[in-house]
Amino acid sequence: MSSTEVDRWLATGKASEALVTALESSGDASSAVLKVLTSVKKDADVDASLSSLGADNVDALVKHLYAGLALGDAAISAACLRWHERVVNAHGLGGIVRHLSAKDVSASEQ
Amino acid sequence: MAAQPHQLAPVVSCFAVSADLSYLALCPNTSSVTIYRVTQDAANGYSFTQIASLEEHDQLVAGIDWCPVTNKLLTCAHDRNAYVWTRGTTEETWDPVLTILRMQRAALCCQWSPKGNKFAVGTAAKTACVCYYEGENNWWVSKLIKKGLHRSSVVDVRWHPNNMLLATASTDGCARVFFAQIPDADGAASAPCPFSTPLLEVRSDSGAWVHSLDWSPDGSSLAFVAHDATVCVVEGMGAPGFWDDGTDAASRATRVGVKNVRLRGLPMACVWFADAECVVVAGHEGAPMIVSPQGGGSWAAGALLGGGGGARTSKRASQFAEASALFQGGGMLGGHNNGGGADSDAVYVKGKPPSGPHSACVTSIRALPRGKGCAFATAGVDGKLVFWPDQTLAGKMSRMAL
Repeated sequence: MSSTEVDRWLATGKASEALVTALESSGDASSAVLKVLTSVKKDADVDASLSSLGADNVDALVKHLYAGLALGDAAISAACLRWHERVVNAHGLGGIVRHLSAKDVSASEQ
Repeated sequence: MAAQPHQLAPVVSCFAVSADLSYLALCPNTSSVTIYRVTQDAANGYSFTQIASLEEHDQLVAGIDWCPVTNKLLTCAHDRNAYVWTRGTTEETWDPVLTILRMQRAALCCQWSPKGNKFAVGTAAKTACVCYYEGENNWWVSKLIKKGLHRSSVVDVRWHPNNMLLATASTDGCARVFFAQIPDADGAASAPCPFSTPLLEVRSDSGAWVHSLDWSPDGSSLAFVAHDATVCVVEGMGAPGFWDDGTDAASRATRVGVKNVRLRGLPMACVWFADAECVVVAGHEGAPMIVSPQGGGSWAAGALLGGGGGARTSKRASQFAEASALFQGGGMLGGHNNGGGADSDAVYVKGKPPSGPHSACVTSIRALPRGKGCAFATAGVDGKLVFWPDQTLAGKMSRMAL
């Protein structure tokens, strides 16, 4: 299962691969993505995994960040806010704009 | 020569230039239209002298277009009216002619057809209409694009160079093309399909509002900008018989190439398809940028022009300073399409005004006549009209005929 693959990447300290695997996993990726977001501790790892992220994955990550913020959990929100600042620094506001203006919003993100 | 900003009004809602750039008409966010005589001298660039103020409308003038063929001025406003203005004996007198739009809601945009015998108006009544002149009564009458074909307001209209097709941009997230030949106006004996037949519908990348669109000079491509910070170029419509082969819109949609460019920053609001290899867009970033084809069929956006958009510091400002600057600076503008990558020191700083000529959203862009030294002009919510010199596009256009 992809969640164990994500665990394996995180265990070996490979944040970039863990993030990409989580974002591209089929089915419900949110729990896997949130696990990566809360597990990666070092700022340098966050920046490194963001710098190599492809455009589609950036947009997907932004959507997961907002879904995570909507959960209301303090620890998850803290991680999401930290990643949010990094994502905007690295990739600009486009992902946020696309998240806000997308017409096909799933119910959980309302 | 740098981009020259001119502050003609507190806000410019829309503007148009005459064919030889001797006159400029704009709406300063009121119900009137101001006409300026434009003079150009080598030392000081452009200067503007106000010569007339057209007061016929009751509400905000949302669209102005100056016909290059007939020199008539077209204005449309939120008061559900449009007027065609003909120049009188002097440059200060402009005589309005009524147009019967039969619209229930505000007019939002208008454009003369390339031959000047028709014009199109997009409205908040979820439809657009095409008007032509009726000589016996000295007025312009409208034919409506059938109701139900748009699901929301039509915010921009663009004629295809062949004078027969009309493209519309709508807040329902789609750009569409309709057949807009009118037998009475175009004098054609027969038409391949009835007026207002839908010929093509392309949805924006995330279904976000389509703000504006423009045809390429040869009519084989259509570029539109949407509120999800994308620029979309629809290609492959140039083959002869593409439009009148009798197939329906859905099948035609499968035969075009749709190329989406996702921007890094804020959405664009206006677009000019300068030539086959150069689409100029401008919008909420407060500066124009060029979108051009890369090898292999995709398109990509360049940097913001004019040194424009947002200030960048290489040191991280303190969070308190950032927060207070956000309130003092009056909102963040621009700069987000640059930075990252090579410019990796760049930090997203809120609240600093952009360093380019514009300081707010650019809402309209107009091509300027060749040979005057400036390629295009932009205007926006900051009231500045900026003329961009030819060098801005140098090297981006496949041919620059000066």
